[in-house]
Amino acid sequence: MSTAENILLDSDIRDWVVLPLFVIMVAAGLLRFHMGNVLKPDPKQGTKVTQRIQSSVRAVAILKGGAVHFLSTSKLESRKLAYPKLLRAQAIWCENHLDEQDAAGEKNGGENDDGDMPNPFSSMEGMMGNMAFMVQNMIMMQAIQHFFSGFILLKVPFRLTLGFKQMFQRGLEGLATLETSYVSSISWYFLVMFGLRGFFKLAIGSPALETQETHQAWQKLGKQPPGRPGTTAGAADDDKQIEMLEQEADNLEMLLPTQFKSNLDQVEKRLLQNNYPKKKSTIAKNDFLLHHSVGKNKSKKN
Amino acid sequence: MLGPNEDLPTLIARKDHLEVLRYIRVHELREPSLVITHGQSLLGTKLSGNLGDDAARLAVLEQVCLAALDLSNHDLAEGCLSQLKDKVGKESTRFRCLLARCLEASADFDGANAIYDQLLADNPANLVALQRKYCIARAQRKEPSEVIAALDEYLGQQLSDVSGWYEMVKLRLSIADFKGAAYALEQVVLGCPLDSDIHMQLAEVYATLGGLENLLLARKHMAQALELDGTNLRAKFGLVSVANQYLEASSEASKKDIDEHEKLVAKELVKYGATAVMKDYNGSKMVETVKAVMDDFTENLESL
Repeated sequence: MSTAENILLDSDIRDWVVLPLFVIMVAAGLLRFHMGNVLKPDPKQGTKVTQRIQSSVRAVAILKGGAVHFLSTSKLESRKLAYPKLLRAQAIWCENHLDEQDAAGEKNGGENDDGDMPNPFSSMEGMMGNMAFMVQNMIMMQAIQHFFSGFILLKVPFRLTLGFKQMFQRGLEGLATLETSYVSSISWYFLVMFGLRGFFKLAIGSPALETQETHQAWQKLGKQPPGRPGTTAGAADDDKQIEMLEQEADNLEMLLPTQFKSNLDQVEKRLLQNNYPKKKSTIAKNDFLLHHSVGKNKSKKN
Repeated sequence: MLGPNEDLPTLIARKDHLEVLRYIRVHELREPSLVITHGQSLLGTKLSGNLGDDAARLAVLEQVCLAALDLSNHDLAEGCLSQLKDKVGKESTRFRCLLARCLEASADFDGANAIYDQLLADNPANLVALQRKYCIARAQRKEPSEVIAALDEYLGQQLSDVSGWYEMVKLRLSIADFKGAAYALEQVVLGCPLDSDIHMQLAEVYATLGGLENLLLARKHMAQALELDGTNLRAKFGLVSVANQYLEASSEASKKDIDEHEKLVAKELVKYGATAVMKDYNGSKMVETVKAVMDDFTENLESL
């Protein structure tokens, strides 16, 4: 289905739709980014339990890395047995800690109520960023379908199958024989939306050094940056994390090799190279078959 | 941002004070006098100048304050603190940590401890407070059990902190708990596997513990230290000593524990270490003394 000629479109379409849409979307993206920065809430307090769990999992994961080749096999084996027990012990510690906190909270009377109330709002703050993006998406799509429908916008340089007709030629139902390459403005919107992600990474770039240092300082001071999944401090989350610890312990038992082989065992061989004494094998000393030969190839045994 | 061919001398020559300070922060260098000179060139002697970037100015003030504490320049540190207090207020957690550091530096440990306790009451997950409480306990030369308890408190929250484990090594060595020191050093090795000095230290601790298995491990770690850094003179001496200790231990051990092959390896290691040491001392004044020591090790090899 190849038509040799292309349809000539009005240049006004380019002037009044293609370029303005592009400019509007760039502006909307920048606005979203800066609003996110301005409206960012203060970092929330991380819990002792979260911190402990995260650092335990990190510490235990070292057995899966390359550093194991610098420690002796016997010590690795003992760690292989000890680390899952360590994780389970940490889980018990966290549970005891939470129980103590609950007990202390009850003793102090109604102080816990303050902690319970803002919970629904705190989870919303974390999702605010995603919400803004989705809301903006919906609004833009509705606006485009309302204002910029009913005409062909452009021809994409690649072939599309018939299945895309319904998606990309929304307002053009009358033109059933039109090539799928000719699309409406809504598809231009989608193209630009996905394409601008890379552009924004370049334009906005990485945050300033001081911001990165502030984030690191927050981690050390026990605060967690807003918008992360671990920020909703609540008994439910802590319990889930303790479950995660148990899972990690099980995973560890499964993933670690049944027999560690560390490169440290051969380090002396590598150091001495030619001077490394050869291992005299004792297996064949008493094997009568190896010391006899048959027929012509009879050789002297030394 | 710092480019790939911007290192410290270039930045200093260019008199780019802010970038010099950032470079020092990023690479975690300890250059207090450099920091103070550049900080004062940037913000004036009283550090009251203004940069366009607020966040950069506050970061510079914090950096200069810590450098001033390093050089015991308490007046400058107080100046930084007052500048920061005007800007961030005294409720800020980071400011309170800095204030407590200044109190520590002027030996007001009780005041510093009070601030850290308050910070921990506000947020029990505050790692900086736990770390500094351990440092205070160490500076006050408290009972080893108390210092170890403080370090345990910190390490329990941050199991993957390699320098924390190294502090544990030093503590355990100071109370002659060599088994504990060996475990802590192994954690350090897992964190920094390519550091030749750590392997050497671990080998020395194993050798102090004694016993055939420990001496075997000591041999291997000394060999690893030499493989990682062939110029480590202490490791060369260590290799000779540890391999020799292994031979002596195996000559006293019961028949079933002795592995002939391992004894041969140990003898080769002694010879290797001795030649390596002699090569280093070739042409120096000490060569005769060192030769005598090495010959002592290598002469009796056949009899062991």
